[in-house]
Amino acid sequence: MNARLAFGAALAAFLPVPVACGRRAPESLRVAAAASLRELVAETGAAFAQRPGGLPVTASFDASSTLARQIEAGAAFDVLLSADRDTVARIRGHLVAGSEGTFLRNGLVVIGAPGLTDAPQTAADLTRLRGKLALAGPAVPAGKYARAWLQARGLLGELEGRIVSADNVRAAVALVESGVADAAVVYATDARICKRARLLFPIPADEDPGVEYVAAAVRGGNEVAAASYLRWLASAEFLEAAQRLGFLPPE
Amino acid sequence: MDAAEVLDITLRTLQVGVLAVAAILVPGIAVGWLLARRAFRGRALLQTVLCLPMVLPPVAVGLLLLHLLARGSVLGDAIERAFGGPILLTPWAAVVAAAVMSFPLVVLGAQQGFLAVPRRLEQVAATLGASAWRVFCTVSLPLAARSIAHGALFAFARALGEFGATTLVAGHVPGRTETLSLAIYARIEQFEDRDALLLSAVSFVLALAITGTAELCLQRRAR
Amino acid sequence: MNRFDLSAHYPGFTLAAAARWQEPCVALFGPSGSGKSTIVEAIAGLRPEVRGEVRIGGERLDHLPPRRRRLGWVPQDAALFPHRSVARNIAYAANRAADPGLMRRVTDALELGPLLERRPHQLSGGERQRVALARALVREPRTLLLDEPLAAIDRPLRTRLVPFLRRIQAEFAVPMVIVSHDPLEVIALARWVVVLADGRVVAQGEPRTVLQAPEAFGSLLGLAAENVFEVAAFEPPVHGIAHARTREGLQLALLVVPGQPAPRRVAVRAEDIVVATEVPRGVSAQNVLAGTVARAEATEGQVAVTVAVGTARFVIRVTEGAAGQLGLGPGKAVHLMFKAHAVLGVE
Repeated sequence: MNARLAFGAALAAFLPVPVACGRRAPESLRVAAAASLRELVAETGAAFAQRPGGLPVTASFDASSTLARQIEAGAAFDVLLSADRDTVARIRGHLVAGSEGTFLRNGLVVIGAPGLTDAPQTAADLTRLRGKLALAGPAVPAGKYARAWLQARGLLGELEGRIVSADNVRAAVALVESGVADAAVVYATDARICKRARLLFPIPADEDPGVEYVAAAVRGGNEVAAASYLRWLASAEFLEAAQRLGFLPPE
Repeated sequence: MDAAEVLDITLRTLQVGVLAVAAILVPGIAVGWLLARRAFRGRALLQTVLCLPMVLPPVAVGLLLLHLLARGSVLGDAIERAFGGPILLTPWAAVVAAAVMSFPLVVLGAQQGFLAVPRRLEQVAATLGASAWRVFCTVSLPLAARSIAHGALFAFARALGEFGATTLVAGHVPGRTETLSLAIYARIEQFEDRDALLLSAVSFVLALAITGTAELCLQRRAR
Repeated sequence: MNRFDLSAHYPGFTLAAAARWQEPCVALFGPSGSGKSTIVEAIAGLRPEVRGEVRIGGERLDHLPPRRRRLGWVPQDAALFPHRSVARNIAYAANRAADPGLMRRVTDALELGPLLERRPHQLSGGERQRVALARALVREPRTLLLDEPLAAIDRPLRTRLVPFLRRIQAEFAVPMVIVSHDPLEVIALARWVVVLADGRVVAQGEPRTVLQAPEAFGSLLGLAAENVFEVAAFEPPVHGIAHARTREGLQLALLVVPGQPAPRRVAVRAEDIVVATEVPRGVSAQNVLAGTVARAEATEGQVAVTVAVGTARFVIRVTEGAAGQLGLGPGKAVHLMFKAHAVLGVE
């Protein structure tokens, strides 16, 4: 009997109800952001809140495709920060016309496994790899852009047999760090923080297929505050924070 | 990541789990009883549909839920009118996702429990003057209770670990809809391995504590 | 006035049975699979597929659901609620409005006082039956329906339950329908027997008449016609073996359980008796009797032989082959042998 009471009491302690559905108690800007922007958006959120016309930022981080679906389903967002132009195009009908714009870029780099000898220095060198090349899956922006780059260099066909697709960039890094793959193509921001793999070479500017982040205001949201946030994305303060994390400014 | 944040995420995860199980307990018992004791047309179909959340990839279920709860859908609009805002991207959406994914587990536990109750006992109770409801409350339910409790326990564990469906309907809003599984995934993605491992350890300890306590309670009652 | 007229179809079995009786205690008698339990369950309302009329105590019951029929059904395995104590099992049907002393009287009559706080799994078979009886009695039923009440209990101990059943009949004046495949139970408890075979009623009447008549015998295939004798004198057991002298002058050796009261009647199953045409020597059986064959009737592969031992009549069963081999015909001198174990004391 006693054990049951204790269990019941413990259970009851957890019932204090979480925040009411839908209603945002303090007014905030609701941002749908690609997962790779997590650190950046979190760090800069406070700065935006303190500006005139600024609001605290509440962000949801997810895959770009998931965010697109949620917006299509009428989820309450004010701003979309997507890593994938294509999904943005798909949901254009839900976005404020003319608010779309590239606000950030993320370069692609090639990283290599820790003990890799005769490390590739250029794209062509990749064909000399004996082991596997890890890329994010073709549906993920990083994977899409990596394949586009290899395609543009005419190397995709040759490397096809050696490419291993990972769920996402993080998994691709893990493959390299664990030695399953010899090299991987990942975001510059990822390469900055991964611990054991080493940076082999960044993709040169003239070959960069353009991994672009697109910002847009969502229709039906707080469009005034959204516009204010989009303007801020172009500010020197924001771009400085972004570059510290390894991002590139839009050209 | 500081202790306050860990506590916040853990508490939220527990709340979602408890609310999800609380929501599905009574309907789960009812459906379990129906499947165990009544033959009706479409019963096989019902059984199959119930297994879907277990068979389909959670993301697929999440997608379905997203469409069901979307603005412009019957359910989504009704909820918005009743509560003043859409349910998507709120902790309640996480509860719904966890509830749907865990529902089959409660049903199965109840179904097995009721199937194991000898019909003879229910018949005797009836001859002793008990109404169908009294038979259920005084004979069927107490004897099926252990199996139901196990089902609820599994459902709770499942709810705690729910990820695929949650991420679609509740999104990942740190401080609001971030549960343990979402938090761990995000940390891994951002190469914050130490934090990911810490949160995983918390999950593990949580799982031990809950299943351990529950097993203890169930063991004692079994005598 | 009580009657039933029931029919039902099952794969491989058809039930079409009708009977009527007035006596307060009636037995439904027949081999396994003859439909006895089905009928009793149908009377209780638990068999929706069985159609027909059920009348108990003059009232028509077949249109009522089980909980409205007010019958005390005691299934073969007692079916006690395992999650409740004995006291709470008995009290299940107790009405708040009903006679509060009833539970007390029932508990006392069945001597369940010391068991009240126990759980069903801690009880013996006989104790469970008594609890189930008590539970049914608290309902104040119009009739008790007892499905093989003694079946779950060891043979020597069965007679212990019979007094309780008798006491219930006396103290609570509640009529009973007893299902049994054991002629002994039937003779001990019932005043009227309905004999069933293959889902049909083949005979109705007083126990002695029905059970020993060879006409009913053929349909009692698989059963024994009991040889029952009244005890005139009884000698207490020496080394576990007691002796009873019957009114006809038979001296029979039987086993008794310590504490068992002296039986008023003894019975031997026909199937437990061995017949010899020569004087048996050096056999372990404690009962060896000399007699003469009075009659031999063949039915369905077996032969019922009536043997006269003095003024007593024994009915035994042998195979046709054995009857032929031994030349068992009227007038043949034979010896009957059976163990003390086979002699059953009946109240």
